[in-house]
Amino acid sequence: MLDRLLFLFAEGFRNLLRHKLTVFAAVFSVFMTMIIIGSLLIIGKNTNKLIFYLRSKYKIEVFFDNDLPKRDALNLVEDIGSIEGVRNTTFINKENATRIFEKQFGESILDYINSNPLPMSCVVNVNRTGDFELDIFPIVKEINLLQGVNNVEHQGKLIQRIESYHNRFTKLFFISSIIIIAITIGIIYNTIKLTIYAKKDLIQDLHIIGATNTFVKVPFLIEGVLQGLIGSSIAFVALSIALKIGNSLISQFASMTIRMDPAAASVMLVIGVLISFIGSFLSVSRFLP
Amino acid sequence: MENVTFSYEKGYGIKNVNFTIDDSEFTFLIGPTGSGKTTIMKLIYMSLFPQSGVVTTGKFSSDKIKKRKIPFLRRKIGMIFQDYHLLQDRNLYENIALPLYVVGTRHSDISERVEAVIDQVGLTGKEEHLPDELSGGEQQRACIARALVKEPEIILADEPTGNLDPITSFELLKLLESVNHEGTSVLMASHNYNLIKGRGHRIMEIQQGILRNN
Ligand SMILES: Nc1ncnc2c1ncn2[C@@H]1O[C@H](COP(=O)(O)OP(=O)(O)OP(=O)(O)O)[C@@H](O)[C@H]1O
Ligand SMILES: [Mg+2]
Repeated sequence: MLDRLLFLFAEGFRNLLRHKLTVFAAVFSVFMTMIIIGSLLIIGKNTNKLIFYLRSKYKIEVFFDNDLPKRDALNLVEDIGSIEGVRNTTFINKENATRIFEKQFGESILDYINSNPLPMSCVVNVNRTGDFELDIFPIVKEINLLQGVNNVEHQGKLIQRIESYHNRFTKLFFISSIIIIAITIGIIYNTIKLTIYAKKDLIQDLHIIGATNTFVKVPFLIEGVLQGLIGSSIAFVALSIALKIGNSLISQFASMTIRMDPAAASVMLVIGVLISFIGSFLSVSRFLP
Repeated sequence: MENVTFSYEKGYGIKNVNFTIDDSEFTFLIGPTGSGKTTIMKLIYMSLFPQSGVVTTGKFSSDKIKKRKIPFLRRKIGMIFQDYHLLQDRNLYENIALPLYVVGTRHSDISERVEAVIDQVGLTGKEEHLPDELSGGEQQRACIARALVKEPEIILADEPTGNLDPITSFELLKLLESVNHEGTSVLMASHNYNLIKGRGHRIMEIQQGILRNN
């Protein structure tokens, strides 16, 4: 069994070496694909960090009715905290409100007016993770419906714009990845098809000798997967080097590094191998029935 | 073969053919070109299936066999063709070793077996030669070696001497006879009656798809 497996591997390798030009085309296209997908992964990871950061800055300020008793206000804060999509809430009582006012305006409002006119309020932070496009309007709406809420302030328009950019970027990322992957699968499919045609004699002989279908097919699958493995490994090395150079350039201007985490490396290899496996599998199923 | 009829979509084929080849029998199948010799061979190794009648090869019969099982039937058959069918990109040794890899022979046993059959067909020393670095007769010997290496129960030789000169053809026939002597049945198709007459073997004659003289 092991000997047979070794033989099939050797056949796969042989195919690779025999058809250098078509193989080069396939490996090169996997390489390009993985460079693009790898870059997208890196960019995606870093924009994700950015959107998380931005989302942590989103806040909704809820002002309560001026005559609302403090106990009711606290209950309200709790109600708001339990709304879906709310990460946490910070209650601001009248005293804190005056302090914030003082900090912002440099003067105490109590210098002008005797009784404290500032209402109790609450700052609401929203969840950062999840949807492509985070929508705070349902939350705002729900808060507005609560008894005792006087006014809700938020940067809805700005958030909407940021979120729609993020959404568009993410969609673009997915669509372009899928298109590129589909093209590469097509190229692998064709490479294997050419190898199969070039090996018609061998295939026919193998069938006459008494080779099972699996035996005939496996070398072609191995060939395809090897192409994927080689292409994505080279792409990974190339990207790592590019990042290293890029980072050393960046470090001259700013103390920032772009990282490629180990997960991205394995994702790249897995995608590369998967692409080539699918391509060669489709080809083999089609041309070696 | 029992009452086997097969016709190609465009006509021709064989009609109502009946015969049996016993263990270790040497049988000639002669007939003019287009008479159906290759068709019979293909029916035996189940590359074709009869429209009526049953072909039984060893323990496999054409009406019952599952597609998956056909490779296992073929492992019991050694095929030799007029046009050799050697793989041009592999040397003699690799060509002959191929069936053993297909069958799953242990790597350590392969070289011994291959050397033995190469010796048997008299090609020792030419292991490294590519097919086009061998003469026609040598290529056909290589094919015999390739058929023999998996120790088949029957050898089907479809006009093995078709491309060879009379002397080489005769040597090849003697080689097949010696193989047969060791217990392997041989079915050899030929249209060269001169070559096979007087060898003391059974001769079946086919004409236009009908077995004339059995
Ligand atoms: N794939 C095919 N489709 C249609 N007709 C075919 C096919 N193969 C063979 N034939 C026809 O069937 C008949 C028998 O062919 P077969 O190959 O069995 O002849 P043969 O006896 O082997 O001839 P030869 O001595 O020339 O090899 C011929 O008339 C041939 O034209
Ligand atoms: Mg023929």
